[in-house]
Amino acid sequence: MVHIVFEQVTKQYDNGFIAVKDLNLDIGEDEFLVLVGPSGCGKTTSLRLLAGLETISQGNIYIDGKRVNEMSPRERDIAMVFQSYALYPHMSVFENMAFSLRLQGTPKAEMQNRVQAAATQLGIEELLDRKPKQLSGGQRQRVAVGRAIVRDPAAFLMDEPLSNLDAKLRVQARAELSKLHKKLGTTFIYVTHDQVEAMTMGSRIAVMNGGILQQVDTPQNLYDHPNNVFVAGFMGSPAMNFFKATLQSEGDELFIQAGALRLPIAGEWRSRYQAHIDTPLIFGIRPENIYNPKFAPPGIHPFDIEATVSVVEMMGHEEIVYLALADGHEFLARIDPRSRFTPGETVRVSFDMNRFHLFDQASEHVLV
Amino acid sequence: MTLLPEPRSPQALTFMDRVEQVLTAAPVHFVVIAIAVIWTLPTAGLLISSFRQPDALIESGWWTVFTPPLNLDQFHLGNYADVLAGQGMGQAFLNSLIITIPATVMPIEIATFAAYALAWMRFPGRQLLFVLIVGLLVVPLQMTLIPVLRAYNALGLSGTFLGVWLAHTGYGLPLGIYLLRNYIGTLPRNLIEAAAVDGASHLKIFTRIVVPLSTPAIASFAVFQFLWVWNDLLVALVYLGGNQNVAPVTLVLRNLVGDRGQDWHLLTAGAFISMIVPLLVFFALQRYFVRGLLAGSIKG
Repeated sequence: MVHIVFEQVTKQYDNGFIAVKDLNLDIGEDEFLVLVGPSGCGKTTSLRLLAGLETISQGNIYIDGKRVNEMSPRERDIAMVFQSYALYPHMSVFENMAFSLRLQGTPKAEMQNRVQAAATQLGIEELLDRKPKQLSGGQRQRVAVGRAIVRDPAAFLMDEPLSNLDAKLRVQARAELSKLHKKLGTTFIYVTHDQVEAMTMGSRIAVMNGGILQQVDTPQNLYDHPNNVFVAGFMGSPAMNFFKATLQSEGDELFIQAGALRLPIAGEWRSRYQAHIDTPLIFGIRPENIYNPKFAPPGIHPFDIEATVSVVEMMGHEEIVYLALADGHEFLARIDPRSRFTPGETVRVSFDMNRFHLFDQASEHVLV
Repeated sequence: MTLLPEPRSPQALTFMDRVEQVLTAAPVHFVVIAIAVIWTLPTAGLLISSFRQPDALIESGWWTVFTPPLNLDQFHLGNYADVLAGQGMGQAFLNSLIITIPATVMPIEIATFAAYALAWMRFPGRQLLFVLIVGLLVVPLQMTLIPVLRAYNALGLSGTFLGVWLAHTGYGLPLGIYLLRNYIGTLPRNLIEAAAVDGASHLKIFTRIVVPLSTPAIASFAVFQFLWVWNDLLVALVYLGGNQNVAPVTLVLRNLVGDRGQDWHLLTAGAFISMIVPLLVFFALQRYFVRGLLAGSIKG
């Protein structure tokens, strides 16, 4: 239960590559913070900086108010679960889990108890005598987690611990890790490139791109109010649709002009966007905010447009439809499966004009 | 972990399948058997000769023992007894062990420590140091004999076991460090990092993780170094001098040849005694040459 602070942390490698730039992050006690971003965005490097596996080029990291820049990994009292699990192949599961306790000189009886308790918690008691090579991928992942929780560390660092599991196990392990976090009440810092893991597990999510922190917020806020085009496009699958657009005023009405599309803006938004009239903007709308007018739910603010269907992906509970405007601009919609759109057909779809995003084209920042 | 495809049951093989199998394997088998025969035949001759009477050895070749009827009386252990007791081979055998064991253990220890440091510790000049060590591999050992001997004379180390140990250690280290650094460098980085996060110091990482996982490389180097020291004549001759009290097996064998090139019965027995230990060492270390030591460590 610690408070971790990244203060203007920069990591530059010897070859000049800047992996993390001016990272400021304040991670509270008991928090489950997820670092998410595409590969190479600096999320793993940030975690390794915190673990002490990389040296910090600039800035400071504090664990519970103590500056840890020069501390070795073992002085930081943190546990880490690696993407590859990194189990010690020549030791049994018990030995793997007891390794850190043995190094601390924990008495034998206590060591036995703690390993046993952790193994029970993870359901791997009957595996304690086995060697890592005799375990399945899911079991190895549990042992790797077990090795971390035995220590009762101040914080858990996890580097894509689920990426080597198959899809079904991953869903299960996700829920288990969330439960574990609730039970232990310890700070978790979790790195993933999978936005589903981020959304489902994080109490807060930090989105990174190109070594720069884009936004930190709760999953819902991040999804509903992305700060910029990158966050808007990264969170959510299928990704948000973007259109180059401008705001145009006609009388006392406001329109978003995106190519051939002319979308009216609801009354309550008008004052907010007044200042951005005639500047180049990006209009964003999520695929789930596009409806088939026939099955549109109440409470939305629909505006119908015409588009041509190019591809239909039937998912069972929904249809993902690739649509093209008259000017060729493509976008996706998640619509009701009863729609039965067919490729080549020209259809009418409704944009929910209550739920859209506008970004400045130059800075890619959201308009406020 | 490599999974071989499940072999088909013998019933599933047709006659032609089996013919094909035999024919494809035949050249390999032929070459392997030929090499084995070429290697074994003289050794077998040596072994048989070492048990024969000195007179019979001069009169006829070793293969004549197979002319029927097979007479067990023509074999005896006298040659061995004579060589061990009379010719000082027993003492030489002990000397060889006294020289070889520390001269194998010392370079292994030093080389493993050095290899870990060169592979996993960050310090300035690490690469340069490694290149220099690899460079030492090409220095001919004969070039060092005179300067080292002069230094030994000044230090009073010539003619002592310590001198030979140190010399062999020095000669073995470049290869040892090179081999082990390359092996230890290929251990998964995550494993070392996991141990560091688990609270292990460099020494603990070395003893608990790196050494157990490096046994195949260490065993290979141990066999190399042991054989090289055991079979060495030059280094022993130069640094030990003609002192018979400390002479190893190789020196005594050479003296046997030199003094009486005609005493075949002693030479063959002596040669066999000198061969036993390397064979034992090789078979004893055989079990460390295992593959798949890292299985289960990383990835699923």
